Amino acid sequence: MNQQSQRQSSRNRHTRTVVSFAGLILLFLFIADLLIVSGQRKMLQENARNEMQKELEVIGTFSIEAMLKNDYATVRNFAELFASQHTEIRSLKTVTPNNFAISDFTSSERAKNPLQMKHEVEFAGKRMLVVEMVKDLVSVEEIMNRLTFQLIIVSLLLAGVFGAVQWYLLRKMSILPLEKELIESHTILLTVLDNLEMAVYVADMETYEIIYVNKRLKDQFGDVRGKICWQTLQAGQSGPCPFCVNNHLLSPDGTPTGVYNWEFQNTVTDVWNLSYCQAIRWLDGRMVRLDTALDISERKHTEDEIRKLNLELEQRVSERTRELEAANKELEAFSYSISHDLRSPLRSIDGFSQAVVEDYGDKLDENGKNYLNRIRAATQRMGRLIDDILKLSRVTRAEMQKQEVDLGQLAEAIMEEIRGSDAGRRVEVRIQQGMTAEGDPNLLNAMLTNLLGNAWKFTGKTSEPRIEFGCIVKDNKNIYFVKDNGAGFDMAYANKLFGAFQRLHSESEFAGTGIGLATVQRIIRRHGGRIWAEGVVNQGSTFYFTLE
Amino acid sequence: MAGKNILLVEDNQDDIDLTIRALRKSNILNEIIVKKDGEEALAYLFKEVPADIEKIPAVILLDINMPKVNGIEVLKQIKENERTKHIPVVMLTTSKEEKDLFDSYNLGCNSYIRKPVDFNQFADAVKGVGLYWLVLNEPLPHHE
Repeated sequence: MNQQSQRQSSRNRHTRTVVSFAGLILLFLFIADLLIVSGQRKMLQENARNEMQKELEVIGTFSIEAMLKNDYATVRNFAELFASQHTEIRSLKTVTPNNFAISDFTSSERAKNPLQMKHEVEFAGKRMLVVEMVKDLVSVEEIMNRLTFQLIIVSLLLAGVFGAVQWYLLRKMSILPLEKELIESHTILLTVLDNLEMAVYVADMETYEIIYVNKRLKDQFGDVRGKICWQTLQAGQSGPCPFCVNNHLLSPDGTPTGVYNWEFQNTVTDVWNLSYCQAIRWLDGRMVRLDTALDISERKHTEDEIRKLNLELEQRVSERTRELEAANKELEAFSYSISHDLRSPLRSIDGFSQAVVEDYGDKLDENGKNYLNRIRAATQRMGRLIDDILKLSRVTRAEMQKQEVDLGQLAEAIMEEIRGSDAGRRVEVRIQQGMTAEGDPNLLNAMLTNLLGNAWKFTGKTSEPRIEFGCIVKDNKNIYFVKDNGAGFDMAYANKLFGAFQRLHSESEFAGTGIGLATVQRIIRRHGGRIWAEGVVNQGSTFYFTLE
Repeated sequence: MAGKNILLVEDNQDDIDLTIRALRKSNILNEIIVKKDGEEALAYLFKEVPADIEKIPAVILLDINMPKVNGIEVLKQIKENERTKHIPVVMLTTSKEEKDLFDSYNLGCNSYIRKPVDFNQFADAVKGVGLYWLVLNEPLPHHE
């Protein structure tokens, strides 16, 4: 639209140029005409003057002889005859030097362009006669008028021809290409607008009259140009729509504020639109709203679907959670019965084996007593296994209560406890201070108790036992480690370390159920961390772990 | 004088025998009354005892996991009843479930012993319980 007005103004400019150019040529021609006319007039008047002088001299020459004879009648007759034969003469007087008028001819016609001349006739140094003549230079005037008329016509013709030629050249050189371009861009614009997936219309912001609609809008509402937008494009409105965005498009001083986009559901078609509205100035100067509306029904539909799916998902999750909770309950019941029912028979086996040794010891040889003791050792070991399995399952089930935990302090407390239960040993323990982590204190305690307990246990046969608990930072992540110089392990079996009931040492070498590291790994996984280990046989092992 | 008998509520015959053996080995020779489930125990406490005050136990050793009426329910009834609430109740059980511990103490049990698998440890525990409640502890005198 803007482009079009530009084209219009450029055309106006061209017209002005052509007109002023032609006017200028005309002015030049007129000045030239004036010069020609005044020159011509001067020349014609000079000619007339010369002719009149000759005529006066002729009259004088003719009159000398008669005047010498004092024949005034001849002079008068001649003068009158002369005057009557020359139509241009308006008056002719012959006067004697003593002011006696010999003849006095005066025409009834008034002179329009009079020329008066006086001629004194002398003979032998004596003034004889004065001839006065007034002539009307009609022919000069006529010639001049004709000339002026012709010059004006020629000038106008010339200016016209020049103007036309210039107009033609300008048109050929700039106006036509501009117009062509204008038509082209206009066609392209209309085609683009019509092919848009969006409905486009332009409406007057004061009268709400629709000025332009593109094809898509036409398909939906028909050619509604000239109609009122709130009556045609929306339903059930008794005045401008309450949701009309016109007031968003203009600043208080009436200048356009740019694009305003909003989503709404059309009240006629029920189609959801994303509408881009903008106030622009129309060619005729009024402020209009250009509305470009994109059909977003599909997106809305998808959003609804997603909402629905989310809801379903939530329902499913809560169902699963309920199922999981039920499964957990079952597991709890299961471990309850394991802890109770599995241990009872063990107690019987152990108790009655002991009873046999005590009551019937005298009837058994050493071998028999040894067997019974081995039965008891096995039962007790199974009891420990059951306890550890229960612990492991509790680690998985226990609810996490995360808080800030000082791992260094926690480790100190644990080491204190371990030392207390095994007072005979001297172990060099180094614990880095200031290591705090986010986690469940009970679980972290169980985890560190296992790791530090292992380090304590596996340095049992080392001459200068050393245990270190610290932290290194790698890639902005804290990696904690528990290092000892104890029995270590063969890296070939590193993958077996964290499996339940997996042991790398015999029971006789180092006691244990093989549950400890499995428990540690579960605790660390529940904290979103990772655990791995490095070890060399008889040189020690290092357990690394991260916490989220 | 009120009876110095022990009420043992336990459904497992092996545990009954081992408990009695442990008590006897600790030279606790008091009469031991055995009831094999909660129902029997409640019947004894609320029917037999009122008829014969001598039958009031000095201590009750109570298992939790039993058929019909479990130990927690028995404990609840004992501690809710004016007649029986002062009788010391020692939970003697295999369970170490936190919930059982919590429920038992909440209902007012006087001790909670987890039976170890190792008979020697078990015997020590029973000995300790017997000596404490039967010898050291001064019970409330009974009035009728």
